[in-house]
Amino acid sequence: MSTQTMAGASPMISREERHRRRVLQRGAVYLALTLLGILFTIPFLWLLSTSLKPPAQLFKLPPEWIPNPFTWNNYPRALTAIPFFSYLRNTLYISLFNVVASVISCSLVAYGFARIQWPGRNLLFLVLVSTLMIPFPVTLIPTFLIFRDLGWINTPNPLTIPALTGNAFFIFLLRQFYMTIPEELSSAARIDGAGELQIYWQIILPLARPVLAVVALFAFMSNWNDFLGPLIYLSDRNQYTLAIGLYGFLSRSGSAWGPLMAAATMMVAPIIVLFFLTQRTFIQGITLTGIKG
Amino acid sequence: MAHMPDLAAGRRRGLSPMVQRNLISGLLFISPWLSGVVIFTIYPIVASFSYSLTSYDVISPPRFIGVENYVSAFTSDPLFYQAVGNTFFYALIFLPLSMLIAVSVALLLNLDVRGLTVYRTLFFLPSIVPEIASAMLWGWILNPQFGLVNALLKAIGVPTLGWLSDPDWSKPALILIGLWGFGSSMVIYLAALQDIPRQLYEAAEMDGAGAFTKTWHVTLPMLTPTIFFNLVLGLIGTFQYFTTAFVVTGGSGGPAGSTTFYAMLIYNNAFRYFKMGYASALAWMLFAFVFILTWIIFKTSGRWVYYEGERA
Amino acid sequence: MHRHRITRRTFLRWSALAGGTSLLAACGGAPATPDAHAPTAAPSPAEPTAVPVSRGAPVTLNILWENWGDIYNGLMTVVGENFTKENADITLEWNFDPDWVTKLTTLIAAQTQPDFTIMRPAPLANFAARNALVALDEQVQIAGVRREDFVTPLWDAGFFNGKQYALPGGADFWCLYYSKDVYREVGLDPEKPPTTFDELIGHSKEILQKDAAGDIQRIGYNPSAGWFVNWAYIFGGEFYDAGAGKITANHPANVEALARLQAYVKELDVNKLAAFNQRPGTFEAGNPFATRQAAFIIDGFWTYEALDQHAPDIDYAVTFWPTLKGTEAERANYMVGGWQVALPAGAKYPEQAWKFLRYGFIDKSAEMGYSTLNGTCVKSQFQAWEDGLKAKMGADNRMANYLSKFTQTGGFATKYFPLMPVQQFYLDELNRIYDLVMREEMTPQAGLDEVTKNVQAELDKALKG
Repeated sequence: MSTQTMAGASPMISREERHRRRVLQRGAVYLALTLLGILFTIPFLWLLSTSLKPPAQLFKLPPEWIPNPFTWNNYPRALTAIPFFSYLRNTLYISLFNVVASVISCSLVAYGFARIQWPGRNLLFLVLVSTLMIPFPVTLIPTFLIFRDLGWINTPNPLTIPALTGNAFFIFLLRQFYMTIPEELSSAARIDGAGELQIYWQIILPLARPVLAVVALFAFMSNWNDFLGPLIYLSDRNQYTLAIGLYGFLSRSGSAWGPLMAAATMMVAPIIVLFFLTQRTFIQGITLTGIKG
Repeated sequence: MAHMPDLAAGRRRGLSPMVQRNLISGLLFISPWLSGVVIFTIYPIVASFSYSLTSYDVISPPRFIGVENYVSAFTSDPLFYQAVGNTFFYALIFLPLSMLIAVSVALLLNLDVRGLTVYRTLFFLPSIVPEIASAMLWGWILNPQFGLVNALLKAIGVPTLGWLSDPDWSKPALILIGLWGFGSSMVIYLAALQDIPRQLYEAAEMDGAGAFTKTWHVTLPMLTPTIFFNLVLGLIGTFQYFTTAFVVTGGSGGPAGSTTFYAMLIYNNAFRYFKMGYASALAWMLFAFVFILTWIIFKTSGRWVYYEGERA
Repeated sequence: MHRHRITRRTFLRWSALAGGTSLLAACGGAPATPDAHAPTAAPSPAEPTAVPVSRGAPVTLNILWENWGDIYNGLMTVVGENFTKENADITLEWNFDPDWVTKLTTLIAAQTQPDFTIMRPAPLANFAARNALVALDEQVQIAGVRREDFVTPLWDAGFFNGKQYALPGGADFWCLYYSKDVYREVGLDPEKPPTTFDELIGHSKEILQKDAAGDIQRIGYNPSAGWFVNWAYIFGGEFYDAGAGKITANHPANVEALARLQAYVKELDVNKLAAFNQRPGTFEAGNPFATRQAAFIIDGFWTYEALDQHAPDIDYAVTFWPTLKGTEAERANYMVGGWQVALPAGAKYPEQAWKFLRYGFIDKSAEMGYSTLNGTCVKSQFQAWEDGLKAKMGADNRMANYLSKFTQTGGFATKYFPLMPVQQFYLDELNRIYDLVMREEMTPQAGLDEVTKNVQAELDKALKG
């Protein structure tokens, strides 16, 4: 672990010595991060490079990095395999619904678990975590029966409405964050006569922005990539999502690496855009917490 | 809990008005989740548990057979022990490694690094690739003949490996693939790091603390709630590990059974062999095991997880 | 669609993920247009269907189908549109699902079953044993269709517990493709492909080429787990004694077949073979058959399309699957696989569903077959099917003259993997043991003994329950 290099900045040593060490330490940090960054980016570049290569070049030894010639053919092939834009609309509806619903419901529920003391709280919280421990194959059919009885089969409802009731993963995550916020902030507000809802809205929520951004991002990602849910609950092709389409495409294309990598790239690209957009929220989060400190 | 010194006293006389008020507002806050549990969660959980005591093929009605499913896992499933072994192997190596990497990188990025957004994106990018797509990508990168990794090994004169087609290397290969996606937990750590009040660092600096001391005495304690979260969910997740191995090895669990994981057994029994009863029994044994581990972690968490909001 | 078994790892992988379904190859270049077929009179085994009718309230049939990719899904829906043209009161709503077994199971459990479904022999017994499918015997009798009219193994593979629960849909006839180019290169006579197993292995040994590191550079026959059952039948093996309810995986002929394959794989080196098999599959550019690094592939007729696209300059030919002695009588040991059609019990419109079954998969079997690249199952339509395909591919296509090899294979074949509720487990166990035996971690005898023991235990449980 490179943090080791940060050890022991003794106040006894001279200014220049300290400066020298600082530079060295910085250098070590950047070196470590950059090496690791390259290591983690290589597969991704390989994904891109493969998606742009002509088939014959894929099997050259040793492997070549630069597509020669650049070929876009894999993208239309992946694109035309599915009605991209109508699936995109369906996917966006489901994903955005989940983002909004999850952020609202989970942040409320987590407040109840983190910021108010009440008997039975820890027990119910353990129940909440336990619901994550049952593997999906054995609850899939009874869950399907519930949605059938609600008349939701062949509608996007099974993929959206449950988000209104929160999601154990996000609730747990938010609870952990809420619990790091000093209690004085709440008790001071209570003394001023603020109700719990007011404290939630005016104090906790603004402070939790970084993690709410994480929740939003994860909610979007998991719905964007989910294929099992849509596969089971949707039968009407007009309601299909991108993940079903791309899953179907991936599953039929075996090791047609070029088109596969193109399809994967297209699936990932919108999330990258989203990530860059939410980066701003992350940064806002920093400034806010800065004020708070 | 400083504001509730009367909790114990309140218990004795029934609930005090304050506890009552807290109970009501607490329940109100969690009511969305409670209603979700009632509508969507209770029935499937109860149903799957009752399936585990039956012979049930999903199509015809279940028939009660007591604990037979639980017994036959140990006595007559040719894959059970291998699957348990493989799952432990994966979990015991993957979970500590991925937590270590995620915390370390997050801490490094927290050192006021210039170009933070670039690094953050670099490390996070892999975790947004859909699991199926990343499994395909790695199958290609680890291809023994045309893959990038073996080409590198060849270039530096090291013997190449069979990776996913070699029983000795298939699990390490899967661990490698899993580690590539550490970015999602790193993002959680980063968010947590941003929530640490500056004043704590300032106070430490005034005491003459260096970067390492600050990290060890301020940052890490403040991160423990998040580490706790990632530990519990990592545990739950790795013991249900499934998709990548399934895609990469064709659901065969091969080569030579080396990638037959416990969750794959559950899936195959439920949907390929029409043995929902047996699959449910497997699932509930997994539940019991993970629950006990989680419960131990919860019980011991008071000793190492530090909640600023719960300071007395 | 056809891929009952593909030598490619990836297909096994995906078919497994899709819950035992089989999958379609990479879609070929330009989508074949449905109107490209020569209009052929498809003689039906019984009297032709009635004139268009349009009485009764309009009905929409829900159809569950395997996802074959947009091109072939589209071609399949055309079959349905043609049906609707003749039956204006019945429209079809298709649901193409890559994991249709799970979906069908779920739908049946929720009593929201589709009116019509694709079926495969592996899961069939599970559905049939629980009366989840309509027994079709009565309708079959009324319609006057007979077993003899069909490719019999696929007909038999729909017969369970004395009733007919599924009818043949698309047949997989398998033949041996061989590369005349490789034969010439090695100095073998390109007009004398192997007719026996020994010849196949003998030729393969001459063709095999390894580099200094032992990596395979050119291969003859490329063995894989998926074809073991076919070989076992050719060796005279059996897998199930239905009368006694006994699993016979360790039948001496099965053991013999596995031992012979093991001996061959030993020469290839199992790890080198695994590495070689990570090359692109037959349906992709740069596959070893296209690059003249593989002399044989065992596959159905549909592979011509991929070879046209990715190996346009290969001189290939197709011959019958080699047997033990090379006699015609032994060809009765050929297997036929494929998919079937069935009607879930308790669905809303069984009559209309039968009507579509009759239309699309009996009366118009040839047309359905050549337009969607499936093998027809109706013997009397073999010629119409070949003609339709020839028109589609062009008479000068390399494959054109070999189509009859496939239909003849369908005529000879009598074998199919026996139906039983634990068939998927049986097949998975065979695959698992095959791998261990090829890695010499078990002897063929010990391996197949273990399969017999494990599957028998499961079968006994299933029959008891």
